[in-house]
Amino acid sequence: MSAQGLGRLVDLALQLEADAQRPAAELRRRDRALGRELAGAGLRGDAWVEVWLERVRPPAPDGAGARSARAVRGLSALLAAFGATLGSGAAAALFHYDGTHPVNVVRVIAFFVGLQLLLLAGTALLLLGGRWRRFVPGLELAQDVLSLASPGRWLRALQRLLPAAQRDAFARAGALALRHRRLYAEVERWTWLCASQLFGVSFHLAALGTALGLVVFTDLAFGWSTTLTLDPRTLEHLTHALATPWARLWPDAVPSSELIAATQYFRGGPHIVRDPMSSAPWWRFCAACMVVYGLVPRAALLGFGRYRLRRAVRRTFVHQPAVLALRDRLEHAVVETTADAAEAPPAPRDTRARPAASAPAPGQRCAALAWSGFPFDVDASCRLVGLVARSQRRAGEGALSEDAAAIEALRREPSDEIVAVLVKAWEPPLLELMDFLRELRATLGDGRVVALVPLAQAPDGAPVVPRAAALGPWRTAVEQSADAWLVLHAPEREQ
Amino acid sequence: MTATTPTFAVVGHPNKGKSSIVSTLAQDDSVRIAPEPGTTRACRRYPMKLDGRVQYALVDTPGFQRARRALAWMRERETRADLHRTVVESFVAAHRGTGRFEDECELLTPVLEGAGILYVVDGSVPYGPEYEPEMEILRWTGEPSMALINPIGEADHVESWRAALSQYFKIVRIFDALTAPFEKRLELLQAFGALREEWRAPLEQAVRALSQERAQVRERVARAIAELLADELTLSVSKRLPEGVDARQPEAALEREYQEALRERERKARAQVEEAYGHHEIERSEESFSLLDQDLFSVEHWVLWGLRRRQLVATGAAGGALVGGAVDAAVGGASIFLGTLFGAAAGGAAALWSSFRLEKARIQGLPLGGRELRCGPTRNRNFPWVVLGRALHHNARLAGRTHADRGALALEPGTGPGWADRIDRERRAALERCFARLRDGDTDPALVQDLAELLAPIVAQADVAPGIG
Repeated sequence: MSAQGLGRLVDLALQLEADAQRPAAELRRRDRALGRELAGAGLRGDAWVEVWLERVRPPAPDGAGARSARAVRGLSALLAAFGATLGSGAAAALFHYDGTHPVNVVRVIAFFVGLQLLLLAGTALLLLGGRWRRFVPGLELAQDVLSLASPGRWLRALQRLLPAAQRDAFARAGALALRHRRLYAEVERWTWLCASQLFGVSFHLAALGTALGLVVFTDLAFGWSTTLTLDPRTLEHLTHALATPWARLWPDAVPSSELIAATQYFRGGPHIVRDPMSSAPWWRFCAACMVVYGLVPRAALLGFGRYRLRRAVRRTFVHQPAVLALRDRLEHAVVETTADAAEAPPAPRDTRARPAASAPAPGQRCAALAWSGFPFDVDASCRLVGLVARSQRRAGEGALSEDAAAIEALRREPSDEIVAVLVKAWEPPLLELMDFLRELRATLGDGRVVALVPLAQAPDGAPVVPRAAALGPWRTAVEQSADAWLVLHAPEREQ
Repeated sequence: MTATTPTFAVVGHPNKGKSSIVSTLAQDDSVRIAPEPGTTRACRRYPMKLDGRVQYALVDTPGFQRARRALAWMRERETRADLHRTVVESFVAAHRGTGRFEDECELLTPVLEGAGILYVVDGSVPYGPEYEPEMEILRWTGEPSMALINPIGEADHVESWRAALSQYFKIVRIFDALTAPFEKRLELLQAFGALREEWRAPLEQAVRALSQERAQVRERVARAIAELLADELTLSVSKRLPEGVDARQPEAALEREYQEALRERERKARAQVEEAYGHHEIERSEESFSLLDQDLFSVEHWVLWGLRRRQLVATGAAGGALVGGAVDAAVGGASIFLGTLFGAAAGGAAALWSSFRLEKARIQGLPLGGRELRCGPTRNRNFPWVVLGRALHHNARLAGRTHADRGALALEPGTGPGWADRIDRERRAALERCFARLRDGDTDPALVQDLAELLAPIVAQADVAPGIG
């Protein structure tokens, strides 16, 4: 297993998880700065992700990635040791010879060929993807059951033997894979496969070593025996078929018909081993079977698994969505258009209640004043809101002295007339108008009602009472003024 | 910021859309926009930065409140035309901090510092002579200027405004801050370059950068939608069933949990897309937004957003034909293409049959004994299209939405069913293949990237033809 690659993947996953919690703008700035530095380095493939990761999360001996890598190495060693122990034990049992019963070649074939072929078929079933699961009935259940027997799954049990720090790191990596199952499923899958094949390779290497050791350092007698009525010619066909892969390379490892005929035995027979030395050539066949049907497929699968694991790690490094987003941040300029400071809070409003004069009654006589380019006929406008204009003046346009003259003229009007200030409803109440109203009040004194009359324009150009929504700013302006005799006069609009 | 950094002060009467224009051009929805005059009390700067370097800056200003009085003050001190600017400077110096002409001092400051003038009026209200003092003061500053007619309401008084503004400004443009599509916004920014020759190059560079950034936004959106689809198609929830327990009650609870998890994932994707477009404060009105926010599992909704029956049958048949074709190939054509034929028929029929079936919880045995109740991942062929239709519609609403628009996201009539017609057949088939791979548990990390690449041109259509979805 590429422990270091897996460790860095853990670091990457943790960094991406941490980044997901940080503000996007901050990430853009950080990564763009790095991106500009890396731009000239001519990095290709996944190298840029690794360089980026080194910068934002430098590898540390006590980091999560390094601890995970050590955990993976420790687990691999444990798994290899476990496999070697079992392999050695299996070979010692199958090649056991105490001078009475010879090593039964049928058992060796059954274990190192038959069982291995079955296990390889199981591995092949486990490698079938989701599409197959849909079309092959029962495959999903078979895969679930097989995966339980897969040595790769024993990692979880073996992790208890690791030091606490590595155990925690392994558990965290497992939780990470579970949280982002779709992203890391491929890596997880090939990790399990590699672990299983590592176990298998260790098992077969140890078995082969033990068997060869027994051949070299002890005297073994081989024979073959089975309860089944097996004709020696049938066994000959079987062994020749099994020996096909090495028949040309190593002809001595192909059992001859004489050897097969001479080494059949029956446990109850008087001479179980007639000539132990003549049965010795069987060891070559047994060793070749162990290599070709046990060790080589597992070693090949381990190589394939490691290749696929490296590929899965690399693809996860480069193609997962968060990395694509990272690449986007590294490669593209940070464009900022928003304000560089927060907006000042709105001006505080005077919320104190103030005495308000009553609204003008229908038919109320008034001195009308058209403010700042008021475009409608003054008489008609007053009639529209139920007022009777007794005089007309203009202000808010031209020279300031004209405003003062208008105020002075209004002061001279009969005190029982209210002052109606006609304004364009579509314009906002500016401070200039509020200044004028303040000066007017100062001149008129308290008690005389000043009505603010906003009017809108109909599509045909005639004045109309504005909609309620358009009156909001006017109502606020009147409420915010300190003038108790200033009223907003806008009769309800007929629908 | 350098001395030659183009800066534009957005000035004018209060409540005529200055802040809306700034909000739209700066893509900033934190700008306060309110009907009350005087909402903007101080200048606020919106620098456009490219990798930290300022390319240009917009300055939102308070509106003129006492322009006639200010002009009267200046006229009293006027000597000659070449001293107009000095008089304006004297005005600001004399009144700053006094409490009088506070708004005028604030808005004139960036102009006197060399900002170009963007004078904003509302083209939906009649022109009035009370605007003339404002324009006159701005003319006295001597800074390059442009008038923008921003029609806020429905009435059309643009021509009278154009006639009046042309007497004060060399360039008069119409710009609807509320509805301007992205390309129009870029056009306007480019037009600012006409105000001063040395501003042209940085503005063109800024426009190029904004255009590239928009392309990146589309890719980010495509990735967010691809991730959403991948997550939703592979999502499942499960619960172990104790022995002897009646499964009906936990079944219903698990189905609810599954549907809520799907909704939650969709909400997350929606937030990502809004973030990509820089919309942080979108108002969510349940009434108008319910079609996007709720009812993911209502049949009406599936009719609205899913594929039409014809399209469903076609995509199902294409998938079936692929499997049947593999059988034909395996037998060397001896099946006289019956595999393809039957595969297509079976795929089409299965797609139609399952088009409105929602995912149900099902019980399954566990390898080590016991039972597990599991809901999802969905195998419904229509489901990813429903999710995609909603996501693309959400994207289209955002792509066409300016940052000045503070209304709730709403559906427009005439959108919805048939949206997938605008996706060409090959792309639809390629999308269906990606969906099938996800349904089949394909865990290739590059699958989301493939899906995002397929979606990118569809997402981009929202900018080219606003309203898709």
